[in-house]
Amino acid sequence: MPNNIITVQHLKNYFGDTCVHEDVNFSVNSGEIIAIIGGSGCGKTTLLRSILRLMMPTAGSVSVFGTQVLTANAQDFLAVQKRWGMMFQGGALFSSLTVLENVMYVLNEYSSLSYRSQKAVAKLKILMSGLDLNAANKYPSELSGGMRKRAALARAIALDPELIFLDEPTAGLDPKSAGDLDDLILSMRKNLGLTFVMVTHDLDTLWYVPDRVIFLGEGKVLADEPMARLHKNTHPMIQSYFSGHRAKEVHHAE
Amino acid sequence: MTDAFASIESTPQGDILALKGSWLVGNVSFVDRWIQKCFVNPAQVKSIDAEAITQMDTAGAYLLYEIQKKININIQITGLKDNFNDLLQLVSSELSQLNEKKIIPVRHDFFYIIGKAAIDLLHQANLMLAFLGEVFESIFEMVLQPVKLQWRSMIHEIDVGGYRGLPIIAVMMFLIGVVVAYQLGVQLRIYGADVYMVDLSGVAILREFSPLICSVIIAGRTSTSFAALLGTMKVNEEIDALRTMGMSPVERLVIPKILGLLVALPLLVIWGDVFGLLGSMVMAKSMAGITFQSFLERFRQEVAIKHLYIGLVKTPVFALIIAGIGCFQGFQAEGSAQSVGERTTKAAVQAIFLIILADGLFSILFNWMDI
Repeated sequence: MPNNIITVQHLKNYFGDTCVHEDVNFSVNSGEIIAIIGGSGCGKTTLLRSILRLMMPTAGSVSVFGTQVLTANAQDFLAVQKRWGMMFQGGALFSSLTVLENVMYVLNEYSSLSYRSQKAVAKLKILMSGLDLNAANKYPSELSGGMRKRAALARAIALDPELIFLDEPTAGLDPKSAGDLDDLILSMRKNLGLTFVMVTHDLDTLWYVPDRVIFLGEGKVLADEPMARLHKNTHPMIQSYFSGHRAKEVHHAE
Repeated sequence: MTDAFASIESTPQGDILALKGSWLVGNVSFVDRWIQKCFVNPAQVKSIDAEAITQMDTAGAYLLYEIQKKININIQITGLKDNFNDLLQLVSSELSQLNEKKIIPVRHDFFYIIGKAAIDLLHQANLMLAFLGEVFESIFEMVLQPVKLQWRSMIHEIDVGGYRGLPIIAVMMFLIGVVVAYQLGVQLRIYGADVYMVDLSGVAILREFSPLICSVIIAGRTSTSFAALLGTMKVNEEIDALRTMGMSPVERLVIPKILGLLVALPLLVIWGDVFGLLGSMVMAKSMAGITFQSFLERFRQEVAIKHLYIGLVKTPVFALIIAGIGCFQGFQAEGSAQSVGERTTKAAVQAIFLIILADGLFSILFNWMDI
């Protein structure tokens, strides 16, 4: 099995005349946790959407699990889609289904389990994402922000994907819930051997969770290294990213 | 890596279960059925041989746990690979909680459901009244301070709801005119009174058809669009955002729509009158040989102008119903995309129902007043 599960090469994205990505290259190995950071508008979400083929990049290639995602036919692409999960920033739970039904929705489509087992597996996923079972029969609009994130994570892991994308997993959570989510991500990697790619601005998460941090800026990958090295990087953009008073405080606390 | 389906085989004595294949979520249907039927005598099974399991995910681990539970929770599992064993431990520790915590589904009896429906209905009526009150209060305020009116959005509503509705109204009313004149012509021909087609279709179109058909079309076009727009804004908390900025959503969003439609609907009805009569003229000419010129001359002599006014006098009420119901239903949406859909449907159904009801009431009223 190739260890390298995502390869992005020469990715280029233009919106009209505005250039978002000039030439983005990076790769992700199996079992790694990667964070993508950068200033606002540097194209973090665009990068994620390009990898997921929610939008077509202007040029470049994206390979996931050895499949060229951008040019794959529908069948090959579906095989890849079954092996990844995405947790959207706002959760993107189906608002007319309960949490349990949300998780069962994918199981029902892609698994060969009986209804009874689907339900049990869905409950298992809900428990694994750290949610109380009382929340299972609630609708997304009845949940708090933190619970909604967990429910979204439960749906993302429904099919035991090997690769999970997280868009701002800890945004809008209180420090305790955010910390719990960090631990959850680490324990899932440990227990289930998952690979995570996350977009985040949460400095606590950045210090604690990822193995490598990819810094996007000027349409390129400006740095691709562990956090401890990254914050000493002398590139002016990276320096200015970590020079706010909040970034300094977190570092002093370390 | 093999993609063999997960399977279970037992030795002839039934004392060892051999588990094989890839225990992934897409491959475990056989095992799932096996557990429900349980083809072996649980008491006989001494051990489970899991050496031949090549792959496993949480769904597979869940099923292995179920097999354990079915036979004997402490049964010996041999040969399970370490990482699969970790997964099994993880799953069984989570699932043991599952058995402690039962989710009790909420069930209600018959009387509860009836009572709730009745109270909901009353509540809705109350809300509708409150909404109407708020609308009239805002309109009154705007009469006192016309500067507060959102001219720009009102013009926009007239454009979207009125101007862009012109083609569909023209086509529909032309066809209605043709049909009305044809049906009248068939009956009148029996008495040789063809020429009365002009009087009758003229009165019917001006007084009833044009106001009613235009309002129903606009209810389908505009009422639903208001409900979907405001419903989505409500779900996205945009309405709450407006409130926190100290702006009244009714004043900002509803009043321009209602006033815009109050202007647009009468104009649409006149436009519909023109095309309805055009349809009748075409039919009268081809059926009874009445030329356009003689049609128009007779129309001017015989059809009193009051019929046009009676048709138009109803339109402000219809406009209020269309815009009011659409906006009200939009505000009632909450939480989910589904509720926006439900509210949009309700907006169309209620608006059309109330338009026809109001039209009936107008007929009774005009009958009393002898006009």
